[in-house]
Parts: sequence; C-alpha cells; structure tokens
Amino acid sequence: MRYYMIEINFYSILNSMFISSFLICFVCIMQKFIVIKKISSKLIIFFIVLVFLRLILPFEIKPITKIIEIQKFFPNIVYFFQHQVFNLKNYSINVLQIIIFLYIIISLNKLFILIYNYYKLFNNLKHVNASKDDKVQKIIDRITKREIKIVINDLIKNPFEFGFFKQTICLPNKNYTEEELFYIISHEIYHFENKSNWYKLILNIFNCILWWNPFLGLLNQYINTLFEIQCDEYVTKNIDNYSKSIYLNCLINEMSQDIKKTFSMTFFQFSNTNKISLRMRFKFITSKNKNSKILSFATILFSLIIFLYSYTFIILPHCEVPDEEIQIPVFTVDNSYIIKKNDYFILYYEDEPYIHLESITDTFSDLPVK
Amino acid sequence: MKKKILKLITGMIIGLFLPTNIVCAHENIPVITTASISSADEEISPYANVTGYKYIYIDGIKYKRLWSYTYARWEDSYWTVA
Repeated sequence: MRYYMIEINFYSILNSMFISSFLICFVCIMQKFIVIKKISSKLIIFFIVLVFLRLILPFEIKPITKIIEIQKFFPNIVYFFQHQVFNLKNYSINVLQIIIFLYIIISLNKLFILIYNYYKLFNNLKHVNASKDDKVQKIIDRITKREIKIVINDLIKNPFEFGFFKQTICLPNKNYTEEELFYIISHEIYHFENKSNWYKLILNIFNCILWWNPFLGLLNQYINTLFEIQCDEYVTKNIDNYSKSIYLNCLINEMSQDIKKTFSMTFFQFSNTNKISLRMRFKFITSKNKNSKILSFATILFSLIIFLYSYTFIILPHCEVPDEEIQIPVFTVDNSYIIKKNDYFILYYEDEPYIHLESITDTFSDLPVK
Repeated sequence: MKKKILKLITGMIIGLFLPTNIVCAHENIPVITTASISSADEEISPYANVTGYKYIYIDGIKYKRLWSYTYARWEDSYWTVA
C-alpha cells in the first residue's frame, strides 16, 4: 500500500513563490489577449485564484515530489544567510534571522496602513450624508433595484465606489449629461456586483505579505486595469460606436482628476492618469474581435498544467560540507575534555561536543574527564 | 515591458530544462591520508532535506556524522563510531 505525505518546509515555500511568480508572468502575457478580446476578461479571476492558491498551498507531496538539487549559486546564498552577524546573550543571530525580522516589521507596517486606509475611508463615507439628486436616482432605478448611497461633493475629484455589503457611489459635483451619468453609474454598479472590492481587498492583503516580490507589483497594475475592463465590457456590451465614443470621452475627462495613490488602494476609480491602463481600456472598448474558445481553453489548460506540474518537483541547494568541518583537530589538554554521561562519553573540543564515545580509547586517554 | 516579461519567462523555462549540476545519488571523493572522507549512499529522507553521512578516520577508527546538503548543517550533534 502506498502512503502519501504532505509537508510544508522552508524550501517548499520558496518553490511556491517561484512558481507563483512564473504564473504571474503568464497572467501578464494573457492580459494582452484579454485586451484585444481574444479571451474573456472573466478568465482573470481564474488566473488570480490559481496564483494565490499556489501561494497559500506551498507543500511538497512524498513520494510524488522529485528533488532537483542545484550546486551552483544556490549554496552560496544558503551560506550567506547562515552567516552569523552578532551574538545576543547566548544566542547567535544570522543574516536570515535579521531578514525575517525586518520582513515581519515591514509587513505588519503595511498591514496597519492598509487597515487604517480602509477604516479612514469607511469612517469618512459613514458620516457624509447621502445626496438627493433626482436625475441620479432615476438612472440608478433604471439599472438596479438595490439601495445605493450616492454622495455628490466638490471635494470628490473622480467618480468611485466603495462597499462590501452596501454600496456607496461617490460623484464629483459636475454637470454630467444624462448619458454620461448613466455610463459612469453603470460602471460603478458593476464593480459591486462583480465583487471587485472583495478581490481588491484580498490582493491588498497579499501585497502586504509579498511586497518584496517585484512580479506582484506588476500583477497589481494589470489586475486593477482588468477589473476596470470587465466593467467597461459590461457597460459597452450592446451599445453603438457613437455611445462608445461618449464613454471613452468620459474616461478622458475624468483621467485628469487623479487623487493620491495611497488613498485609491482601497477602492476603484472610474478613471486615472495611468496611461498604460487607459491605453488598455481604449484598446478593449474599440476592439471588434470575438472571444476565441480554443485560445481560452488552451490558456486554462496550460495554466492548470503548470499549477499541477509544479507540485511534482522541488528545487533544493546542494551544499557540500565545508573543509574546515571535516578537518580533524589536534586534541590537547588545553582545548579538549571528556564528559561522562550515563553509559557513554562525549568528547568536547573548544567547548563544543565533538565525538560520542562508548568508552575512552587510548587516543583520548590523556584528556581530562569531568 | 512585455518583451522583457516574455524574455524572462523564456529564460525561466530554458533554465528549468537546461542541464544544471544535478547531483547523482552516488559520489566518490578521494581519500585523504590524515582524514579519510567519503560519501556513502545518500539517504533521501522523507521530505525536502537531502542528507548523507560523512566519515573521518582517527587512529584507524572510522567515525560518521550526518550532513544535510539542503540546509548546510550537521544533522547529528557529534561524530559517532561507524
């Protein structure tokens, strides 16, 4: 009968981060196909789930996982991390421990800032009264029967929405035409129905934990844009080219009013000054391509294969024993002694246990027994 | 930017499949007269920790100690008679 064992260890976590980074690069390439409408924008959710699953399931499976040992570069990194920096009382601190300590401090700091930003936004919106605008309310009633709080204020520079259970849509105090308002509000309503804020929250939490991974920053940018594209797709699905031009005009008009980056990490803005993001959205809205089922199927299959195959191997360093560890020292009365345990002896060399002896041989008979 | 990502992924895929210095299960190290060193068959422990015994001779008596190739540390606290 074959037994399977699962374990999480330092190298299985490292490997999961390596594979997740690879999957993130794959997602970044796939976004190009999403933008030109060759594959559905809904697939982005599937890719995000795969990436995060790989991160939160960093285990190896015995006997399935094969070990691949690397003799170059990797061992040098291991030795560097093991290098002792200083002693704290009787405990020696190495490079890896310092890095882990710094990592925890920085991650906690980012987490607190995130919680504070969410709390600040929630608190600000809670105390602002809902605006009563008949024109806006009529448009909302056309789109949905849900109760939505509308806030119209001069301090709001750019339309945005917020809320996990109850939605609040914030609009600047501008004279929008009815058509422009309809598109903006449709876009923001779809964010809520699409649960974009929940995905953004999960992404933000992962950013606090994996801030050191440069690929995650890239994924961040693309995911935020792809969520906007999903909403653009919903709004522009069945409208003619003239209406699409009005929608695109809205995006350009709103892009000049960007707000502080840190504040916008907690919600989705209708538009922003990121040129790459805007270019992607424009390309998507004006594209006339149709989704290719074969391409969609191929991308899902390829990413699933990568995901599953990544559990069949683990990359480890092969660190050969240093020469000084296997040099036989000269045992003298000054540097060595023997301690008697119950029914055996331990030879100490420079106050470190060195040899386990069943009995004291002639070689060590000159050494003191304590 | 996209070209860079494409090059990176291509490099990663090639790097995965290029022959690296993959260690064989059996390794022969020449014996030194003052301290004999040899690697026995490497034992693959259940999880990601490849270990192997190292041997030394002190006055004709063979001693062994378990070394972790993965974590670059001794798994045994001291040398014991082999």
